[in-house]
Amino acid sequence: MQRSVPRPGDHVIQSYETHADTLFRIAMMHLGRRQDAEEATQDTFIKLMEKAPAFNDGEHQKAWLIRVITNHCKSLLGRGWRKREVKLESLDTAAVEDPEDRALIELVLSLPLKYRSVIHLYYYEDYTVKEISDILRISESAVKMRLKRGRELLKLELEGDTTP
Amino acid sequence: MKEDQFRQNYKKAVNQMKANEAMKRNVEQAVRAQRQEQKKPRRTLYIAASIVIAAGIGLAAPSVWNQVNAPTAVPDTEVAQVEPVAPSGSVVIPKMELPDMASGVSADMIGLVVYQNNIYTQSGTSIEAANIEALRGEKLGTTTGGIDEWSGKDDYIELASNIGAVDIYAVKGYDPAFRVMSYEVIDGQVFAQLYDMTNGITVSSGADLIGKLQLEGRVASAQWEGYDSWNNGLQQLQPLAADESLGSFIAALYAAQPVAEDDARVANIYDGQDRKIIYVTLADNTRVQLVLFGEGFVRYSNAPVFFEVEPGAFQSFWDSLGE
Repeated sequence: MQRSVPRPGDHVIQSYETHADTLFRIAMMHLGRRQDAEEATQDTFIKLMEKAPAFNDGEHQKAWLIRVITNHCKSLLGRGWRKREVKLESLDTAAVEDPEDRALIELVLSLPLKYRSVIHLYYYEDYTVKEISDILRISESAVKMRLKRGRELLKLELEGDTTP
Repeated sequence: MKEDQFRQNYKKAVNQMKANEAMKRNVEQAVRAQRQEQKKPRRTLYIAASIVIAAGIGLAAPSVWNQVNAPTAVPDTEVAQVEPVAPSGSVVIPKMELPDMASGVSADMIGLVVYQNNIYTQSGTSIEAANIEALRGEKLGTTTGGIDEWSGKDDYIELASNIGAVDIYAVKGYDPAFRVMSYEVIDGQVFAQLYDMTNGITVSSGADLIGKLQLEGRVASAQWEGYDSWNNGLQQLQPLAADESLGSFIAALYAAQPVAEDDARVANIYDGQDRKIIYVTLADNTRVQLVLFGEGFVRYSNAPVFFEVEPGAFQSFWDSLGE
C-alpha cells in the first residue's frame, strides 16, 4: 500500500489541533491578554516546526510544548516587554462571562508568576508534582514549595494530608 | 475555599478560554510561509553540502552546528547532529554545542551540565535515593545555572547548567569523562541525577557507548515493559530473568553496528509502536533503560545513534519477552 508523503509542517497542524487550547490557556494565565497569548501560542508552534524535535509519544510532545510556551512567556515578561506583574485592570478575560469565574481567574492571575505556573499545571492540567518538576525543570521540592505558597495566597484549604 | 472546589471551579473558568479559528489560520499561514522558506537555498544548506563534498575528498568533516531545518532532530535535545562516516561503518557524534544566537535557533532544553568544556546530558540511567551515597564520588564543583532555552555559545562556561546551582560529583565506578552526578539536599531529602557525555565520540560498535554503562557481567535483575504500558505510563513491568539469554543479548548489543539517526533504516522508526523497553539493574543499583525497536534496533537515552543487533540474537531475545 502506498503511503502518502507527509509535507513539512503537517505534524504542526496536527499538534495544533490537539494542543492549541492547552497552550493558549497556559499563555493566558501567564500574560493575561488574549492577543499576547495568541502570539505566544503561535510562536510555540512555529518553534515546533522550525526545530522539528522527535518525540517518544504524545505526552512527551505535550510536555515539550508546555515547557517551551512557559519559558517563552517568562522570557517575554522578563525582558520588560511587559511589566512583570500582570495588572488586573489590563486583563482581557472577557471571554469568561460568569463574574465568579472571572473573579477566580483574576485571583490566580494576581499570583506571582512562579506560583501561577505551578498552580495551573497542578489544578488545571492535573499533573503530579513529579511531572511538573520534569516539565519545568525545577526540583520536586521547589514545586511543592510553590504549590504551598500558591495555596496560601489563594487561601485554599487542603483536604487530608495526602496532598503534596 | 476547599481545594477540590477550587480545582473544579478553576477548570470551569479556564475551559472558557479557547484558541479561536483566526489563530489557527495564522499558524497555518506561518507553516505555509515556513514551507516556502525551506524551498529557498540557505547558507546552512551550502555549509552542509560543503561538508559532504569535503568528506568525499577525504577531508575531515568539521564539527559544526548544523541547524538546517531538517526533520531529523535529536529527540529532546537537538544540540547534536550525527554525521555518518561511511568507510568504517562508524558513526561520529560531534561535540555538542549550543547554536550561535545569530542563527536564530535555540537549543531544546534537556537537563545538562557543562564540565571540563563538555556537555553532559540527563542520563538514561537512574538511581534510587537509597543508593546515591554509595555511588557519590569526589566533588567536582558546583554548577551555576544560567543556561536556558535561549542560551547561546557564550553562555557555555564551565559548570554552567540548566538545573540551577547544585553540586556535581564523580560517580564511583564510572569515568568522569563519561558520567557525573548532580547532588543536592533539600529539606533533608537527597536529590541526585546522573548526566552522561554521549557526544564528541566516534561509535564503531555498541561497546563504544553501551560498554560505558558496564552491563556485561554486572546484571543484578531486569524487567521489561510493553509499548502500551510505557506510552501510557502504566508501569506494567514484566519480569525478565537475568540469565544467559539476557547475557547473550547484551554481548550481541556490545557487538552491534551503530546506525546514524538520520539513516533511512531508522528515520521513521518512531512512527511505529513496535517497541519494548528493558530495565536492567546493575550490581551498583544503577538502572539502565534501553529501548528495543521491533525492526531490530536498540537505543540508549538521547544519544543520536541506534544499534543494529545481529538479527538472530535480536529476534530470539525479542520473542523471549513475549507480548
